[in-house]
Amino acid sequence: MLSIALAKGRLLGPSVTLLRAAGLEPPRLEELDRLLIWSNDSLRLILAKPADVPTLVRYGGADAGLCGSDVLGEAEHGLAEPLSLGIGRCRLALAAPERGPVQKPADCQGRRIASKYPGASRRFFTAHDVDVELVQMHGSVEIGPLTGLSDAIVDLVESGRTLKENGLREIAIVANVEAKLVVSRSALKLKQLETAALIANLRRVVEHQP
Amino acid sequence: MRTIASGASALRESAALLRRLYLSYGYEEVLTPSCEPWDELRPALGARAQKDSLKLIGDDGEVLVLRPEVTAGLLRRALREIPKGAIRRYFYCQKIHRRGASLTGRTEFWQAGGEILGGGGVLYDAEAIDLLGKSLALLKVPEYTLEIGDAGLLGELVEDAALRGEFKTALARHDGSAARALAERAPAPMRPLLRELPFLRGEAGVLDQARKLAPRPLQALDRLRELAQALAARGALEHLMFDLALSGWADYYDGPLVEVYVEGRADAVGAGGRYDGLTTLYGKPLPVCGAALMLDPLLEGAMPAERIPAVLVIGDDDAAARRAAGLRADGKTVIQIAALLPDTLDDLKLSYELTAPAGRPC
Repeated sequence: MLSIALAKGRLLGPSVTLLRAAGLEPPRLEELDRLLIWSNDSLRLILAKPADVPTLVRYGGADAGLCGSDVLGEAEHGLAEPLSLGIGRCRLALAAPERGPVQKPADCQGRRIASKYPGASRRFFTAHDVDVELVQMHGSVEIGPLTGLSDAIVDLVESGRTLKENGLREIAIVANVEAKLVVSRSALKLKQLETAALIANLRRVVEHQP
Repeated sequence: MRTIASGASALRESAALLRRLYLSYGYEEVLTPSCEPWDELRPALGARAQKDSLKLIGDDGEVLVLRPEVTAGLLRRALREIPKGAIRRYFYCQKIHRRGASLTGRTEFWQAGGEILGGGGVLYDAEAIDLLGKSLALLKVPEYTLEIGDAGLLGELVEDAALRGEFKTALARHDGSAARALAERAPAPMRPLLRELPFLRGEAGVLDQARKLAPRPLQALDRLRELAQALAARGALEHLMFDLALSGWADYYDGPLVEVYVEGRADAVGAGGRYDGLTTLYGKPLPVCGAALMLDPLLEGAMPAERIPAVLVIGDDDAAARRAAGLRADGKTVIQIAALLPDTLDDLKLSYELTAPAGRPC
């Protein structure tokens, strides 16, 4: 039996659709949404907070998982990442108040930046040779500039509506994000046939996506 | 129930089994220093071992390092004494010290394995890998796989060192998407194989798949084909898998590689390969290969194989002491206790097969 961890939230629906297209037989989304774990004879699906998917796979709670590359970029999980899945596409972006002092990355020099993604943020500012003070938040990061906690934020952006509603403007793309398949090295080696089939079937679907 | 004593006992028994195995192949057991000057050891350590190693400052300010792996320290010494043309085999079972990946904060681990100095070619590569498999069988590890690759494969496909480094990072994650993007920066004839490297994993048939995608004959694929034949001749194919994305956790590998995976462990519990280039650091180029296992993850939950026969003497008077001494002089294991309390006997029977002095079972 193969066990796959799925991220709850916006990725869940597209993940279930992808697994179905790849020949697995997950339940309807409405049924899955109410559960923590679902299984049949050959497949076990575990629903977890997005940040917990790599942890589940890493420590043997699941053989594989579907999660965003934003989560993977925050720690070294030691997992195989064989496929980008073409779903859950969005971006991590630097954003700041519309008419504030930050209009480009260099303007962040010496300023405080709030983010749920300190790893990606650090890499971005290092690459731009800009020294910042990074403050990690776990909820609505937009309140950073609104309360004076930070001068700018690095956060996930899809349509940009939330930024606009809070008077923020997107300054630069920090990283493009999409969902990836992760597989534990142990499962890759010891469940070689099942994981190879999963990868091959998902690859077939992904490579034929428009 | 596993205790600190049973853990030590299981380790000693396992070390003894592995020692007998390796010595039966002509290996000599060696011990290397626990602590060495950092500047002398560092050039031979891979980037990861350097990062994870634990350093000390000596009284005179010199930086010392606790043994992060055995190979570098062993090579430093063995190369000084090995005569020209000789082939030496060394076995070790020692503690290594590293920052661990887990949250337990554990920093010391037992490592057991062998190195073959002076032996170039597939005979020795196959022996090193075969001994890993035999070690796992001796330790009664139920489910394991030996993943075989070749550190030289990437070098034959990608000349540019920076691009090769990026590939190595992508292949360590079996990242198909990254490999595809990077392949576009490589010369066109190499691209088909480079794109597929993260997915070329399985039985020996993957070597044929790779050969068909390769722009020309590749020495690494030829070596792997020879190695597969040598291991088949030794009856060692059962737990073997080829993984062409393997490029070695240590930077110094430059030929065939092996990584060991067991049920329930996310990371490799053993590794090895050929690293002829490492010996040039010490000014004495010599073919070298080796492989080792981390014993701690393999022995978790292991109990000593048998209970030890022992005689139970109850009493704290002189007569009891004399009786115990007499039995010990006869070669018996004797456990003397002052008085028999309710749970004492049950607890002792977990580890000992007890008899009374007169010989009847307790």
